[in-house]
Amino acid sequence: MLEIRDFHVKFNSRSREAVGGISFTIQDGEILGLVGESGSGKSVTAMSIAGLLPRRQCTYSGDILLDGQDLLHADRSVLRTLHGRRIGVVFQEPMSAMNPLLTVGEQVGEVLRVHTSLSKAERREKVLSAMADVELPEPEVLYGRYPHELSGGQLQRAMIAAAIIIEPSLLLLDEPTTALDVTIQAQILALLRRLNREKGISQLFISHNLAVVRKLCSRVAVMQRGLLVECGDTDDIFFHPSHPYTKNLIAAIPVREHRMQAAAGPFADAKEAGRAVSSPEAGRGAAPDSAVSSSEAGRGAALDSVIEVSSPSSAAGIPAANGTLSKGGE
Amino acid sequence: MKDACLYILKRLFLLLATMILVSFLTFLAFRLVSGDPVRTMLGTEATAEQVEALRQELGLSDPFLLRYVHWLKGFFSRDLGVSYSYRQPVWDLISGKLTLSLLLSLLSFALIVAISIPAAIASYRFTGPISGWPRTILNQLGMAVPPFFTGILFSWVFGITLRLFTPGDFPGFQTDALASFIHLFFAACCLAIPRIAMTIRMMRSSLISEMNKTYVLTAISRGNDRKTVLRRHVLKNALVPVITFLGQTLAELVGAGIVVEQVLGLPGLGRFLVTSITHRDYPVVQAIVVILAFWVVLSSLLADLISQAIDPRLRTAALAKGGTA
Repeated sequence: MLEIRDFHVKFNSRSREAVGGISFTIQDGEILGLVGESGSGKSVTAMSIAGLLPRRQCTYSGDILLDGQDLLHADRSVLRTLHGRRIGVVFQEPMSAMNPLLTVGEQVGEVLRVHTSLSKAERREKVLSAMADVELPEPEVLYGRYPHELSGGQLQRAMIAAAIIIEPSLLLLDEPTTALDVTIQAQILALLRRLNREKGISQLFISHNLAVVRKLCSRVAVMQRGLLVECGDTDDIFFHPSHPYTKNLIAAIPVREHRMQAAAGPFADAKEAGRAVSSPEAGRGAAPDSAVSSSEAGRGAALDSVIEVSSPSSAAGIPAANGTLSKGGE
Repeated sequence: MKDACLYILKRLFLLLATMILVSFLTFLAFRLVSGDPVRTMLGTEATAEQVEALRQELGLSDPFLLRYVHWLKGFFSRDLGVSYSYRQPVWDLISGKLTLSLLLSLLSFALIVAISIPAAIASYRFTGPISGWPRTILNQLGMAVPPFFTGILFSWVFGITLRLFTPGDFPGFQTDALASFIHLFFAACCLAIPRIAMTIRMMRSSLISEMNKTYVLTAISRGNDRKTVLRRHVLKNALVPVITFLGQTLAELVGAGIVVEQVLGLPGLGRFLVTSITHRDYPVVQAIVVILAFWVVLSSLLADLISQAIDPRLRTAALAKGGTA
């Protein structure tokens, strides 16, 4: 349903391309994970699909096709008819993604106001049922509340309700769980999975957290420095990563047995993480091999520990990690 | 709703307290500065007996606090006392001048709001190739020109050359309403110009910073067009800081009007205040100062209430504070 072909973006203010020619597809009813460190171009890709690329400030080429319709070069008026109706977007920080001056109900129902001719009462009815659908408690009460009166998790649910209210075919999720705490994160992931299953909404889930992506997505695309380094089934990539960067990302997921050692990595800065990965114990513990052998419980622990994947940004960290990892992995 | 009423009551009480404090400080100030109204009134040749008799008559020989309490009582029963210099009730003396000054302030405030908000939006939306530096120069110029200079300029251009009004000769609304209004209008323009420039600048930068927020992306991603994004989402958010600024502007307009009243010859409160201070006409000064204080506090109260009506976060904060106090 969504096809991206040889997509390039370069911002006028930068010398390097933000996205350097990527191609991938999202099938009908699929959840694709897009993983990469900050600056890898994953958010730019998502914004381009959403039609939110600041076109005047960059040069771009390639194709982004939603059911055959070009999104990248489409006129703004064409994009407006797709926004909210065909494509829904959920951002990282629900608090800043909501207008602080409008009630939650008004914002959840905004797509209806823009795209339908429903009366106010009919819109309210739909909003309440959408809010119930995303498991918001007491929709009638929350309807009239303002964003600052809700918790982060509730707001993100409201954002999802707003994005799916007329069941778009594609939902773009730009790090929707990063700003939330672990339990809420797990609930949101469960909600997204249910929406995918029940309504058949395709999703592009962007994250720098491979553990979260693994919990949700059937396929994963890994981006680094504007390039797609790997793309395939989630399990394939987890068990047989081919690119050193992917291996490194997987290695940075803490698993239960080595949580103590690994815990130091994620919270420390990237350089320290790189050292932790290249050290023998950490390398062995977090290598893909042990991920294969780890039981459901072990994997669950890895996935539940929603600690950021700290990806070594220094190029030097990768070969070092590569050495230890390829021993364990192959 | 009950909380909101409580909050407004609390603010009104604060307003009253501020006015009482201001009136006391003015009372105190005149006790401390040199100069004697009785001497001013009677001239240098008055005998000691005459001076003493007038002091008794005006109640000036009473102790300080007693005099203040006496004045306060009068104030609450709408008796502002009698002017020493004019021997007339203060209220009769100042009411006309007060109306004129308030009209001047309100007219120039209306000009500020009516011009600067749309102009800021237009200036935000117009991003042509020459929009950069000419706009900045015009804006800086507007802010830099002092009202007294515009006053002189307007007197010459619109008054003397074009004969739209007669500088220094205000006809009064009873005599000639249209001519009075034109006179007042040019005075209001002088007062408004620098503040329009400031408000445009502020509103524009507020718009720019709001436009860069994520909720704008959300609004676009829901299919809103640019106009709706601006009107429904950004405008109100951008207005919140500007309203506080406008509240301060409204407060200082009455004070700033003194100079313009002087230059264009408007018989307003400002001019009268200055002469009353030189004559040590305490009752008049006292009344004017309290009215000005009332105006300042009222402006900020209005600005607060309006921003709270727009921004629910401020409402929550205000009610939370109101509840504990």
